[in-house]
Amino acid sequence: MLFPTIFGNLAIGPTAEETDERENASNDTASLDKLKATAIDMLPALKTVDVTAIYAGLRPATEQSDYIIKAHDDDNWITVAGIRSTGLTSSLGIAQHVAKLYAKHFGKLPKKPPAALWTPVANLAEHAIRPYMKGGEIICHCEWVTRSEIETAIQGPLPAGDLGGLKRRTRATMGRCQGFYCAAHVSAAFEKAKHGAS
Amino acid sequence: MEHHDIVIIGGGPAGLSTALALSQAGVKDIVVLEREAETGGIPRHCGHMGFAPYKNFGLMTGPNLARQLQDQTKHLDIRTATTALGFTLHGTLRVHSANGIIEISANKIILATGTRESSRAARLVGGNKLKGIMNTGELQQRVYLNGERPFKRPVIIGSEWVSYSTLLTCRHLQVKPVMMLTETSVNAAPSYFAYGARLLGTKVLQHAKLIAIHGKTTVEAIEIEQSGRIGMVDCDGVILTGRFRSEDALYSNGYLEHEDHAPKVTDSFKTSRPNIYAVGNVLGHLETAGRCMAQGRDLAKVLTP
Ligand SMILES: Cc1cc2nc3c(=O)[nH]c(=O)nc-3n(C[C@H](O)[C@H](O)[C@H](O)COP(=O)(O)OP(=O)(O)OC[C@H]3O[C@@H](n4cnc5c(N)ncnc54)[C@H](O)[C@@H]3O)c2cc1C
Repeated sequence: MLFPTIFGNLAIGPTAEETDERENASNDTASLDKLKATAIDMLPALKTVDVTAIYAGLRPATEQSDYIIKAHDDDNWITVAGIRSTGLTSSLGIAQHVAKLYAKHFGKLPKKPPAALWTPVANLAEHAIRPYMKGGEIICHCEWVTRSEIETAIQGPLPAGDLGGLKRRTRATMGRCQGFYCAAHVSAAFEKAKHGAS
Repeated sequence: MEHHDIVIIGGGPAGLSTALALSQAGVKDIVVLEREAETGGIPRHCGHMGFAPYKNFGLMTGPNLARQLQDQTKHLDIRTATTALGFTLHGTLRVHSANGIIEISANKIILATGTRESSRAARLVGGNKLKGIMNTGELQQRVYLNGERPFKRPVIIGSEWVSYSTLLTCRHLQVKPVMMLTETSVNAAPSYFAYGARLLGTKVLQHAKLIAIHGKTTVEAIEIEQSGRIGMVDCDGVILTGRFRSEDALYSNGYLEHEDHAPKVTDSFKTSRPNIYAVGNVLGHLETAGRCMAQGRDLAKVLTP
């Protein structure tokens, strides 16, 4: 599948391979070559376009292909597992189903769910106002990420713990240069913000 | 809207030498936009010898060349921490600065945005996402600007000019690279470089391809292929050097005609649009800083006949 992302990129994928690995997600080089060839087949103009980023993840598979959603009366436990794919699409439905299971097996749910712990994340796509549009200091030049976004990412109840977390919150270093220009600045700004905060 | 005679995007050797030569030729209204906190471009963080403002003349280190350029252009209207975001449909520039976004128009616009190395993703190198994988650009900024020491036993991928700059950076760090790996025979840079590498005690492996990078959180080994055989090499870092790509964000959307990852230009640096010029490494190849500065002086002559 070749699809546009909200960040203005095109993405190609996904693929799926069985693995016994439980922690370490890894890209298979042959699959990367195949994906790129497929993308070019679908849209020949991509031939002269460089790949910006690649990624792999571990889908939580079980020995069966369907989801496992089950209440265990004796253990005070509901299993919600094996959601390999389509988990985002089904998440709201799964939640409703689990709420029903809870009510059936363990009693009433509280009327008002407890307040969620929100970590505010700035808008990252160009369809609406982004922080750089109001000024500030741009640290990541490909994705136009500002210093204040990096500072914000390490505040709140769930601060970004490392550069990986920071990347996912802000998109810093995730653009075309993949860190050639900015990675050293981004990590220095991250360290500085952390020391300022602690 | 702000209007100027000449706007130069990029305050590296090419942009600054163009600005300087234009002002010496009597042009009054020149503005240089530089997105970093200071001008100087790539040489700012190449802490080794090898930079000359004129061909083979006045050899110095990168930071010294950057400082010299900064001094020579002090009197000009240079705006640091200011990014050209893109062209508007009417040919003006959208520009970011600390106070927000403004639009600037100019009689002539000069692109001098430089070049960068290809990333791991662009090279489709598989394996894990790990600490310790970077380009020379990132390495040199970590080493010379931040004072970091990212690894002890890296592998250097590539054998272009810049790969030997990487080697010098490793020497500065007192780090001994495990090997240099190149897909070709060692001919992308003058052959005495390879002797240099061996003199410094680094093995050069030719016709070998990096397939994947493995490890848990930091690099532990690379997987390579040489004449159909697969092998593993232990290391704790991977420096991906060279395969330069023009910094093309301002034109890759088709605003300027381009080909082979570079804007199409005439002998006099004219792009496909009449009032836009391009100079220095944005033209696609990695040239020496001295060459880029000479190009800047040539462009100034074209603009002030
Ligand atoms: C690792 C390495 C080692 C090298 N070693 C040597 C050597 O020993 N000797 C030698 O002569 N040369 C060397 N070079 C080459 C030399 O650095 C380049 O030739 C020179 O820097 C090119 O100048 P430039 O002005 O074209 O580009 P750059 O120096 O890349 O400058 C471009 C400038 O434009 C700015 N910019 C980009 N986009 C925008 C935008 N949208 N808005 C505002 N500003 C923008 C950038 O921040 C940058 O300051 C080396 C290069 C590298 C990478």
